[in-house]
Amino acid sequence: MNRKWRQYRLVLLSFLGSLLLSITVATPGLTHWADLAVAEILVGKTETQITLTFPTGLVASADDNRDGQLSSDEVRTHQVELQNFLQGRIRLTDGENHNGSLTIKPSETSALPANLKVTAGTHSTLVLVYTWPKLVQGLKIHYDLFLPGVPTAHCLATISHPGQVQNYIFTPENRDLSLMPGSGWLAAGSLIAIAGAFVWGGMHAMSPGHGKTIVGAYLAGSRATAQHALFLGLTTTITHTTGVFALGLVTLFASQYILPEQLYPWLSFLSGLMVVAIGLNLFISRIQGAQWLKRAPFGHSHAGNHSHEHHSHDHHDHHHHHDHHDHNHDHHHHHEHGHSHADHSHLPPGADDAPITWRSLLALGISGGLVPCPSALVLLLSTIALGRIGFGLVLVLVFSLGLAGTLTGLGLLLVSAKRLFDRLPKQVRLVRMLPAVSALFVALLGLGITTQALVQIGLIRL
Amino acid sequence: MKCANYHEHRDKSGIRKRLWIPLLAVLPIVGILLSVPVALRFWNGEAGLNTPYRYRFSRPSPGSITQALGKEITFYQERISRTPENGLDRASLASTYLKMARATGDTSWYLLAEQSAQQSLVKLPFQNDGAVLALAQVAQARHDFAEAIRLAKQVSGKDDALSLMVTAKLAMGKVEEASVAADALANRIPTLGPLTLRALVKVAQGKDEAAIQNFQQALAVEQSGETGGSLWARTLLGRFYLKRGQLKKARELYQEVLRVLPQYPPAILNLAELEVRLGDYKAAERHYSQVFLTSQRSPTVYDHIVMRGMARVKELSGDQAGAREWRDKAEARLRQDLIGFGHRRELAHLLLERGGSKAIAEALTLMQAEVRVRRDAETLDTLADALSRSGRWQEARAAMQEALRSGIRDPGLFYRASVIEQALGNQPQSIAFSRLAQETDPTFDQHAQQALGLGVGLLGMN
Repeated sequence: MNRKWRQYRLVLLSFLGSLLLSITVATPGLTHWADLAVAEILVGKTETQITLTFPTGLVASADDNRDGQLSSDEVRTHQVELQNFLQGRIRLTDGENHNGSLTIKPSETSALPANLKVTAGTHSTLVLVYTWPKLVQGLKIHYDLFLPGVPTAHCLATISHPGQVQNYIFTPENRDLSLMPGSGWLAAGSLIAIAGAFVWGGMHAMSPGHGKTIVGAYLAGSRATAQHALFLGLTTTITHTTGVFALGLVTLFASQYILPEQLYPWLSFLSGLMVVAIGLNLFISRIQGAQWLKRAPFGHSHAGNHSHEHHSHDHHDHHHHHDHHDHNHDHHHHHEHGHSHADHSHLPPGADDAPITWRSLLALGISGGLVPCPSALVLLLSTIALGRIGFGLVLVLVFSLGLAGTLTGLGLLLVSAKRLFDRLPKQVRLVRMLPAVSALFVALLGLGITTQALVQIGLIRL
Repeated sequence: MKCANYHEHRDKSGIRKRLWIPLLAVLPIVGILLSVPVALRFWNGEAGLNTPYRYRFSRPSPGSITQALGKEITFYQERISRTPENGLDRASLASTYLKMARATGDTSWYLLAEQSAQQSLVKLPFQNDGAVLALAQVAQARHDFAEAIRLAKQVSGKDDALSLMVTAKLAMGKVEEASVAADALANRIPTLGPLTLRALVKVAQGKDEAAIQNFQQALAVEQSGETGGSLWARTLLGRFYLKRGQLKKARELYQEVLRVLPQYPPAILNLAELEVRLGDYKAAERHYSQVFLTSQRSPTVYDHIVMRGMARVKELSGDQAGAREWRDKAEARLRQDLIGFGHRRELAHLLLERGGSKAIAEALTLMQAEVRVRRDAETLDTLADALSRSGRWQEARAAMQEALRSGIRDPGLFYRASVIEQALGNQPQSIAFSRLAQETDPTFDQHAQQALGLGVGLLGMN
């Protein structure tokens, strides 16, 4: 199912990626001959010319001889009528919102002999010329010439304007196009693409995967702080970005030997194993911590007493504390829990039931970002295909930031929620069990990811 | 004592952590070292890296083909804007639009190609072979084969015109004339395209060995810049093997195509046909969904095949309501396409599958109209089906005789011929056809019958 979804997602996001990255990229259109219209739009300094081929049925009243095609004579006879009809449906305005003045004329092709007209009987071609009294800065095109009641009706336009040519499809849902002049247009397009990549990354993080549940379960069952959540987000971003770049390089230079799609299940497998390891580690330590707490007479007293203000001990405090702990059990007790982390955890006293360490956070962040999204890869490859590699790298980074932003936001939310949770009486059994349960949940999720990856690889059949 | 317990616990915890943390760091490295070679081996095994059908050149990156065509369009449009009276540039632009139509499956490009070719002919009415040929190709795309041949004859001597002659003649059932054109073309330029066309003719003539030889020669001389042709040749060869019951080879070829271009619809559709044949309806549905989702935003010429395939798969899975729903969708789409692209045969197929006297009567009417313009083996087979379902067995026999006249060897055709002969009480002939079906494809069974009519390619062989 996940594989299928990934394939669909790749397809869907490939399209969206292209759209985001470059408005100059053509979007394919619909297929029904009788509903089709096409336009070649030539944008000039003070006039714009549209060579429009459209279903003759739209102007049936002007087709006097009912041959399904407007002749030069028919166009001349119905000039005003056609002009009024088209003026309302295809509107061109300049940057100052001034409508262009429309003149229509028959296409030169209407003079061609019938044996050179394959579409004879279905379509007509007209030339529409829009003029303005002064130089046009920016152009807006409103296209509303569709067969009524035909949702698949559309018009494929190729638009040539100074410096570039682009393709655009006008549909009943997509009737307007703005062309901004020169570099401004490009800059606006780039900004939109960057903003889009960020939003896309953020939204993408909400889709299945990306370790949201794992991050949630991890942070919910531990004494995590906002810094931990931020660190987790940062790690995910860096790993994800690096992963996409690496996979992009593989795709570019090793495409003869490796299919990136084939690597995904293996990366998932690896990620799953890491999560299992983290989860088990947490679970064992939390269970042992809980048992030890039960045995120790002071075991439960620290939980309610140590506030986070105590947690800002640095390494000097740590050493100092070790010097003293043999002499004063109370004092020892007070500090020992805070400093029982030989692995340099900068955690507060009382965190022994939740051994958050920067290293375990790092591992969790790496596992979250290890499997690069195919969509991010498509972003990168599309820009490379467009010859804008630098821009592609920026977009992937922004995409990863969006992705990590959502994860971090979720983490911060959980950390805040956890503080509220901490106010609950610790004697409640459920609350005491929560760290261990959440750790077990992390391990089970990892197991799920690993199993799913093995199914995708084909080593396991369910 | 408490202190000793505590220290013991702390030491254990510290040791455990010291073990876990390096493990977490080592795990990804070991995992990557292990998984990449395993993934490579897995991939090699699946895609058949060492088969003679391996595509030896670099795979195009996602979207790069349409990107390159977009640049080509820009190039010609800029030239036209500089020299508007140049007819040759417009003819070249028309040719690029045609390439875009084939690459995207979006038929709007055909309309643009026609518009551009006609403009070219206005500027350059004589010696403008490129423009005339573009018009011929638009006619062929619309299944107006007679018109395509008429236009192609105006530029006789051109390689592209000869290519078009081969396919149009095949579609019209004039296999001998197609063979002459194919030989002339392949002898003059023995490259991928001409050799593939000659292979197609050999298939239509039932000359299996010659067909395989031509396919293999075609693949042996393929060049890096003709990915579309390379994929098409492999897809056709895969379908040929499918028709001979060599399903493993067929799958390998389709998979090789999809390795090069994962979204190539003909290969996905043929893979779906293969899965239906193997009775794996879920896998077939997955393939159909893949194509269908790709075309959600941009429907293509393959949509009706997808919908019909989905209907078949649903029916075979016992989901009658789902089958009805998909058939309704396919019918709506095919009725829209009738005007522009003459999908009479496909609509007739669908109506025959739906059944009922009204649907069968309409299917027969459609096929009687279709055979006026198209008389390849598959079209005649569909006519024979409609006739036999209408109880007109003698006419059905005549249609089948004409379908088999060229010597084509197709188990599906032999099977229908056998059924018709049996209905007419000619038992020996029925057994002879049944035996021919088994000789052609020793694995031809009930599943194979259920898969008939799905898949793409090989013209007369469906």
